[in-house]
Amino acid sequence: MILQVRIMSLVISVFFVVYVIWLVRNRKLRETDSFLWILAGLAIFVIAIWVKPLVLFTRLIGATYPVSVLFFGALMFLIFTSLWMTTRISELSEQVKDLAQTITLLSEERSRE
Amino acid sequence: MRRKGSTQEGRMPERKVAVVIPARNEEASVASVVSKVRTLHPDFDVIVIDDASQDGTAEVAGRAGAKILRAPIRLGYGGAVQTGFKYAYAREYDLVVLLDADGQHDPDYIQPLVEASDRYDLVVGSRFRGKASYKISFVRLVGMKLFSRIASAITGLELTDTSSGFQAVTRKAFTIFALGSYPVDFPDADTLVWVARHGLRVGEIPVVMHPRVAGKSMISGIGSSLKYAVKMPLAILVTILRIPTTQKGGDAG
Repeated sequence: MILQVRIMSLVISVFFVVYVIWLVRNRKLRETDSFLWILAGLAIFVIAIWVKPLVLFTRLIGATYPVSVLFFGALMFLIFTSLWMTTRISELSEQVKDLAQTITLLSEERSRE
Repeated sequence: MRRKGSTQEGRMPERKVAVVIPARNEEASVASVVSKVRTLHPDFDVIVIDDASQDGTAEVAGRAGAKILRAPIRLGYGGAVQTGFKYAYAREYDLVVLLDADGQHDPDYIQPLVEASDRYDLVVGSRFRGKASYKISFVRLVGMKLFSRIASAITGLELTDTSSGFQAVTRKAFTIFALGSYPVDFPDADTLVWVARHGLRVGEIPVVMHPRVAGKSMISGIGSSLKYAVKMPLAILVTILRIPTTQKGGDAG
């Protein structure tokens, strides 16, 4: 890979990880939720420094370009994360609905007293 | 069921019945529905679930003599209905009659629904049984018939109107929804299939439905019709795949 690209990837991944940590520090992101993103940042970092595993993996699966393998991997990662996010939204919606129903029942109970 | 005075003279035990009316922004029609129900059935409790309305639904219904349960945020039609089931479960009602606030469901048919609940655990008032005078868009009609067929095939019952929100639900059946899950948007064939899969009896009786007095239907426009068409088969499929919970805490038997 071209040197400039690698340097740029390194800088971006470092910024990314620092930003994630900053979000956690300011309580905008919970530690448990930050885990995945720190891992992603580290993955970019590692690939930028050490290209060999990517090249080997490309050969292993019979692909031609390591870059396309990287893009494909990144795309899969994003698809699965957004699916996972949607499950979180579903879970939260369900919890909010349950809470609202409980409040509805409790406030009726209170108004009877 | 342990209800005082239940075994006197071998009469049918007096059942505690709640007429649950989910309402969102229905101030134009809800009062007349409530007063008609109260005139016909003074011994039933009328409970209006006000789904975070922005108009005077709660006040108007309260003045008409209903008990009001007011949701702080929008729950959706199914969410409001489930609130009613949860209330009925906690307050130990024996039967819930579901009725729309928009005047489509004629309170005259509450009596036959209640009577049929001796034979079934969940009774659906069908607008397609008997004399039909109900006007409906062609696309929706096809959808309704199709999903009714599917639900009938699965349950082995003869269902003609699975999307009807005019139902009588016994404690056995609403316990499943109060303690478990209930669809938030449009409950339909999936809820009937789910009840049937618990080994409960689902049945239908003919009712007459009127055009809406005011407001607009939940399923209107191409967007929500499409959503309905995609959601229903999926909901039914998922309901088949889910494993019925064994009756927990319900007054079964």
